[in-house]
Amino acid sequence: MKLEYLKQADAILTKCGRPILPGGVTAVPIYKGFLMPMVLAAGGGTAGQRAVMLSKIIQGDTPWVLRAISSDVGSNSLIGVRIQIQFPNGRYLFGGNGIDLGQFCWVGSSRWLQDPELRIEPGGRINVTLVGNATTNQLDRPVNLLFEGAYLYFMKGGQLLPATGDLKNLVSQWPRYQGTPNQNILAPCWRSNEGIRTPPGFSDEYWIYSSPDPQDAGAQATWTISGAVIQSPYPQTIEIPIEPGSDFFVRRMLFDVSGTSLSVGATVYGRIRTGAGYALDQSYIELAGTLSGVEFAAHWKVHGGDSIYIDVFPQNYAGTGTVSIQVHAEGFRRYQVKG
Amino acid sequence: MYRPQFAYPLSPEPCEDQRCTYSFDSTNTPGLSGTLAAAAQTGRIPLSLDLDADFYLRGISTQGPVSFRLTDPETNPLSDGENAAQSTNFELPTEYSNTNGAGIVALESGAGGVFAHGSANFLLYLYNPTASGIDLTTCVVNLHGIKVYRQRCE
Repeated sequence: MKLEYLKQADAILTKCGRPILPGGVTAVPIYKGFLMPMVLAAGGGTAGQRAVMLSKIIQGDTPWVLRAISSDVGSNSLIGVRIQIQFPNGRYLFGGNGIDLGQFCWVGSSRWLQDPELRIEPGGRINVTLVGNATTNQLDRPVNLLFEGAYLYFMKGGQLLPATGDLKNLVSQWPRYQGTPNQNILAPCWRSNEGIRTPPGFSDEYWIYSSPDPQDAGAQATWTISGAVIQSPYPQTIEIPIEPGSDFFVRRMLFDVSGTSLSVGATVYGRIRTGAGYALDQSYIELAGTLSGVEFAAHWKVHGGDSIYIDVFPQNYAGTGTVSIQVHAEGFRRYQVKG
Repeated sequence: MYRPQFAYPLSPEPCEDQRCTYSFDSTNTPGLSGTLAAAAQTGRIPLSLDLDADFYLRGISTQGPVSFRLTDPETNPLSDGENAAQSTNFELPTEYSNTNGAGIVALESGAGGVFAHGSANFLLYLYNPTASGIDLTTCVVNLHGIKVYRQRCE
């Protein structure tokens, strides 16, 4: 975009009395439309549905605002193709499950009006989903949408603002990771020694509590399975006592399920709670598959002198032999420092 | 097409308005199925809104010959002449809101439109003013307006 033209447009628009943003910032809108040709190909049979999702990436060197949508499928009746549009902010244009194309929009005065306008930064993606029904499955259905709007060039004092043109000040152009010690935004903060500190007067010690080894205490956590029937015991409660004198903070748990032979197996479901009545999970979940090794977003505090109880029972068992489980809770003990 | 008849005020920042249309037809509304006999009325048909944001209704467009009556989630009638004869209280869509006719009913109630909480139900009543049955699967009711996303307001 030639700067001189923007300056002229800026001067003319200002004389027309347009709104001026705080700090004397003005925006010069330059028309830009994005055409999105699509085809919902025939298929899906007479009984089923077919669906396709296509994307249009908004390109440019400055933010763009969506102001209208035109469609070449103008109709006043239901045509059996449903459309849903998702914007880069994750929100949908239509409530519920979208709208029939015949009810959407056409061209000219029958365009879709986007009011208020929606600002999209370069690289933003508009996703369009088309769903056909059994009747419309028989033919290819071309659909062309024109997303109309304008680039916004922000100016101040007759000059382009730094946010425009080089993109460096747009949020969408920031790096995904911000250069913090914790480069993985999904990792718990304690991984990089960030977050809540040990309070004054206390000392933390890395620690693992484990339930009894099934070899030594088989009656507590071993099931005998024969011919897809559990013979004993069912269900079972495993206890991990927490020693008095220090609270235990659980970071993650490991569930070690093993069988005496390759021909026997089971998935173990369980509910985890403390003796004080707190339940970590209300319903029974498959322990090894869903929770084993998963780092908790926050520490789970179990008071000293209390116990972790795991109510467990096997499911989907098969074969002949025994299946056992041992539970490990990893975290740290917190002591009060004597002084 | 939907055009606001005057400029609506934007929600105060950091609330965000976003254009939205709810479209109800036989694919997502069980009440819009079957045949409505001549001079017959339906019971109330709930039109359920999304959970994610409150909705301001600003216009209605319809398709089909069936007459309708709409109430907001607070059961305020939006198109009801309150006449003694029930059948005269239904809107004739071909004259007002049918996309084959004048197009759209623009609502001018309140600063932002007719308010509805997220997950609320508008209530739809249908009446067949003709002398023959109407296939309800050809009928559509579109509610035009905006969603107000309030997450960052609280």
